[in-house]
Amino acid sequence: MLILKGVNIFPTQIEKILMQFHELGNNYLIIVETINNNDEMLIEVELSDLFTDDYSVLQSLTKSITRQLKDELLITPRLKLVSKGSLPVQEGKAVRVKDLRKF
Amino acid sequence: MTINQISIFLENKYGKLSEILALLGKENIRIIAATVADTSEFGILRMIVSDAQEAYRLLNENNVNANLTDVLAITTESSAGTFASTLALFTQAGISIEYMYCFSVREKAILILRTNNRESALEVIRRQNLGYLSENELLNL
Repeated sequence: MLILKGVNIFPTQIEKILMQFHELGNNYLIIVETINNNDEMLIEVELSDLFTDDYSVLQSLTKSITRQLKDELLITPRLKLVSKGSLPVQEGKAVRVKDLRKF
Repeated sequence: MTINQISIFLENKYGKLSEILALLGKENIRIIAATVADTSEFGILRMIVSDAQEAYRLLNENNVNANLTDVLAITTESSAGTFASTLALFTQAGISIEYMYCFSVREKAILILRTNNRESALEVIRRQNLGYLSENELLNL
C-alpha cells in the first residue's frame, strides 16, 4: 500500500482497472514522484497486441482509463502507454511500484 | 486498389525511432514513404515499405506494437492546385480524410490517403477517373 495526498492506494486497485482493457497488456509500473512539491503518480502500462493506429482511439482509451482510475483512487494519475515488452520483466514477485518521492 | 501501410506505436523515448528504422534496414526492408504523427506522450510512425507483411512479422517479433492498415495511393501531376482539386472531389462526396502524406517521384505526386469510408473513396477514384497505384506499382517506382 502507498499513501498519496492522504489517500491510501493499493496497487491491486490499479491492476483491477487496467486488466479490464483488452487494449492493454499485463505489465505495468506505478511511479510516484515529487513534482513542484506535489506528490504525483505516473502509471506506465504496456499495450497488448491489439494495437490500432487510430490516434483518436488511443486518446480516448487513455482518457477512459484515467477516468476510471480517478473514480477508483480519488486522485488523478498520469497514464503513459508504452510498447509491449518495454517495461522491465520481473523475476518472481513483480515490483510494480517505484517510489521516488523526496520526504 | 489499396496499399498495405504499416503503423507503429512510438514511445516518446530517445533513440526509439532510430532503433526501429535500424531493425528494418538490417532485414533489407526499404522505406518508400514515411510520416510521424506525434503527441507529447507517444507518436505513430506510418510507412509504406517494400514488404509490409515481413516488416509486421519482424516488428512483432521484436516487441514493437504495429499493425497493417489499407490506404490509397493516388497519383496527380506535380503542379500548383492539383492537390487541392483532387482532395475537393473527396470532400464533395462527403468523405473525410483521416490522414494523408505525399511524396513525388519525377513529375508525379503521390498522395497516400486514409479516409473514413474506403468504399466511397474507391467509388470517387473510379467515377472521377483518378490515377492510382497498386501496391506492386508503388513498390516498383
